Amino acid sequence: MSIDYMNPNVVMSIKSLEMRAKLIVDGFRTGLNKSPRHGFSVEFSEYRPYAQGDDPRFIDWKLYARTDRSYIRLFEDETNLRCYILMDISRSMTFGSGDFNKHDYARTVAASLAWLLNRQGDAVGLTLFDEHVRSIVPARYRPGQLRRIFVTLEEPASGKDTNPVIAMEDVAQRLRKRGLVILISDMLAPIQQIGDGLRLLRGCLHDLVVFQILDPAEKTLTFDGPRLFEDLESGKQIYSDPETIRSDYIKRLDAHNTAVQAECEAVGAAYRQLITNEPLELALAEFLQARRQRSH
Amino acid sequence: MFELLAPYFAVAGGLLAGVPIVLHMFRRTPALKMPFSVVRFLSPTLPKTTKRSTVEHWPLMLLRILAVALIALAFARPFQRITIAKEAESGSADRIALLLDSSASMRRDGIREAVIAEIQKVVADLRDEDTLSIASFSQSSRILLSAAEWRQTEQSDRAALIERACTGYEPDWLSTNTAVAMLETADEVAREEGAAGPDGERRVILVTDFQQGSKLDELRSGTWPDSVKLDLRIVSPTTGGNAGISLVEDDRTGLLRVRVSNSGDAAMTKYSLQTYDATGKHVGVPMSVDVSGGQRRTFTLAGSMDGQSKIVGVELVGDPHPFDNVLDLPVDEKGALRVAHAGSTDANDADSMRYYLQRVLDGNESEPVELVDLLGGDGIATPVPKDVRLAIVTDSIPEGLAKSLSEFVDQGGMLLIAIKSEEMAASLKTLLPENTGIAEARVNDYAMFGQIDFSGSLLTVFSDARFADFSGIRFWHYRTLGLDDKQPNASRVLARFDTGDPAIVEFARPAGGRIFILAAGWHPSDSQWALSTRFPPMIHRLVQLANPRQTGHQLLEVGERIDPQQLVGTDQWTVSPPEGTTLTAGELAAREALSGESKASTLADNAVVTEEVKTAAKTILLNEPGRWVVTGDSGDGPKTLSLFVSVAASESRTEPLPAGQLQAMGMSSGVATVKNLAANSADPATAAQLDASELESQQKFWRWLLLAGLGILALEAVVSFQLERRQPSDLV
Repeated sequence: MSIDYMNPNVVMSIKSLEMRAKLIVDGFRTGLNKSPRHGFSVEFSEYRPYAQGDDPRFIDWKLYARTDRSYIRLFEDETNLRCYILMDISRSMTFGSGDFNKHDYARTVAASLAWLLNRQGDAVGLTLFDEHVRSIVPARYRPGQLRRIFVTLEEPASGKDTNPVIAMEDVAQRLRKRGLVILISDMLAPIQQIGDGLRLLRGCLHDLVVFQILDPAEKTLTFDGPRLFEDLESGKQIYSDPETIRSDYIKRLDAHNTAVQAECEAVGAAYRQLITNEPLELALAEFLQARRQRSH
Repeated sequence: MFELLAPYFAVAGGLLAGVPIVLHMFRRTPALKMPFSVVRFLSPTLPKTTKRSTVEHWPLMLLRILAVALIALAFARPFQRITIAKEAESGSADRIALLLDSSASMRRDGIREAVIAEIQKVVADLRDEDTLSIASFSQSSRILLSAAEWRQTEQSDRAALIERACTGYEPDWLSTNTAVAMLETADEVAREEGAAGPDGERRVILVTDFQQGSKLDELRSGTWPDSVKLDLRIVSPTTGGNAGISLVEDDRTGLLRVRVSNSGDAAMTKYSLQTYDATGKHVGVPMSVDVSGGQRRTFTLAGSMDGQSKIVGVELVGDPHPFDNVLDLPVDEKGALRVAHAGSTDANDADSMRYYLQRVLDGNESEPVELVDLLGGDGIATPVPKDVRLAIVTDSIPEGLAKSLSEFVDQGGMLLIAIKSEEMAASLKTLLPENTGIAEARVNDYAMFGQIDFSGSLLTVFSDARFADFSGIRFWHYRTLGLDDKQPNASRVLARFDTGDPAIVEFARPAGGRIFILAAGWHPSDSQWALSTRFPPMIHRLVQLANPRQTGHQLLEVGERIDPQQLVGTDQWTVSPPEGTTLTAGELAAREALSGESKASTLADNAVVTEEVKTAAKTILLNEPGRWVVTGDSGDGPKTLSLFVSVAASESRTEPLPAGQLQAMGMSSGVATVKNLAANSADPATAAQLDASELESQQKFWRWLLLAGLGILALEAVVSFQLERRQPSDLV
């Protein structure tokens, strides 16, 4: 019996997050990213004459004794890329019209990306946030890193509000080296906050990739009959008849999404909207394609 | 037939009862609760409701209607009019005790007339077989018409009894003791055998102004008999409000201060204080005072200026009820006592006797004493002033002064001579009886007092064993007094030295004057006497003996009792009430004998005299405000005491108590009914409403209706809970 890996329902039915990620990533190659610069790691790379501003700690004194010249020892950076996955765990992510919700879908995406990046030798970190930063796994490339990320991704979505500004400000303070920041969220926070957060990260010279996760029901408001809608985060209740307000709702949501996309483009971030009934592999493939194009 | 006290509540309840019907005919379309992530992009739409011709949940609706209706009906306060037929059956004879307040606050304008009218009204409602008694009360009760007298009198003659009782009712000046009078009367009515028929009721009708100062606290501790009903009828004066004044004693500053209190229901706040003299003429200009209702303020009165007559009283002008507006003020009746001294004039010479004498007299705070020197610094003597009653000689005096002193003693004056030397004794020969030999005594080391006669007037203050020890006083020098043996009665030895020589000798002159001779001085070269604690009391006693007239004053309230014998220290006393008559101890005894069995009686001079059987102590009730004067003549001389009696402050608090005060004091509302006989209650409509209110307050159907309403509400809660459980949980 063959498994239809293109069907998200099938993939999401696999309980192990690690297994899911492995399935999805299987087939992609490593080494798509080049390290942007040399670093100070264990593997010696080359000598370079000391220049003003270099850290004197890295001067090779033995060489100095021999040559009477100051040289700096340079090492190969341990990874090609530092990647930070930012995932929204606010309560709005728990909405789902099908068998799984946006949160399940988002953490599968995050796990798959972590797996993929780890496989190609990049350092991967994870930050979970709602209105505050909830959990942080620093970006590392070492044994057990993926395990830590998968365990952290098991954390339930419990936040009441989403505030990308706070989360991204925190990330910006922690990421001293340039790297890739992948933001996974439903991006339903006020557009002003989203724009501010993105600009903050971009200001730190990070590459940005934004995945907006939405449920099909959110896109089209496919509910029958009037309902008392209760906001998952604020608890606010609105009695509304979807049939009456559908077109108006879709118009508002589209306007919001367009604004989000415009904000992403404005800061040079790659934007991809993922609907939870879309195959995960396709989404990742598109993402990697886009990354490949950028790196060239 | 039921009637409603507040029918508008029933109308409102009827309208409210329709609300559940309407609500039960409307039903809101139930909505599914849907958790959603982007509510802010949704627009609210109005819930759809459907109107139906059929009512849902009949039992629930009926319960709700019933609850609303019952509660509304309870608020409408229904009552039932009951017609009580007046049947002339002996079994329904009532025993009615009419209790009339006669305290000072009932002296206000219009109250007496209202009380008389109430008596007439009660009498008019009486049936032949009913028994009536009438008593008035203030501090204590007074019977105006007894039940026995009523029963013994023929029906046709009873009108005269009522007339007599009406005439006898006169408000006095005493304070109210309402609770005690109520309980006494109720107990009496309850205990009376066969007072009422088997179907009749025992009732106390209390007619009072029910003012704030009525003492009702006793009702809490006392027990009101269940078989007796109370009918409280409140009378009001023609004009409301009252202001009163009382005296504030201020010994420290000596200023005249009065406290003006204004009752809480007073319409006026501005009054004036006018002082007057003994003839009743106004002294000075009136002083404006501003006291708000329910407040008390104290004012200092300006004393009389030079040339003005002496202020003896003050009146509060402007108050419509004058019963507590006049106050007699204590006037300064005594000046400083003067004591003449012949001897050293240097007040700072510690070796002289004057030094110690001056200090003893200056230490007398209760009565200022002035020491007058008869001998000047240049040796020139002045005669004894006329207002001096005591002269003290401590040194040699010129012959002229000795003559003056002799005349002074002959005229009843008192003379103390402390002989400090033989030379001094020689200059006093004219003052001493003939054949009195005085010589310097030979003292071995020191002498002491040996024998003291405490029965003598001078040393009687030391008669108590605690003060009788004179052994600490040592004399270094003294003089021997050779008394004339032929006239043993001319002198009296009050004290002797331990050698047997006289130390203190008293000579009495036929005209009443007295000479005390001390055989030694109290200055340090003679003795330690001045340093002894026995010395100042002896000198004060001497001053007291020489100036026996004693005056004083006390501030009292009407209703207090005084014991004249205790006040003036003798059983030969005279009491003068304010209106001018006098009562002596003898007259009081005679009236007691006349009064026979009665414990209390009212005398012509308004003094109510009581006798305490065991001690036979006689007291006088101060039953009138003003200045009472008690005089007595004991062995020490006449004593006068002024008693400034004012109306009790509680009587000035005339604002009426709330009608519910009886209930607050623990009386059941079923026992006591309250009727306010205010002038405006003459309106028939208002009177009818008051009757209805009274009936309703007795029947209290509203309690049962409210209880039923609450029960229905509880049932409704149970039924709706059951219905709720049957509904899908997601329905709103």
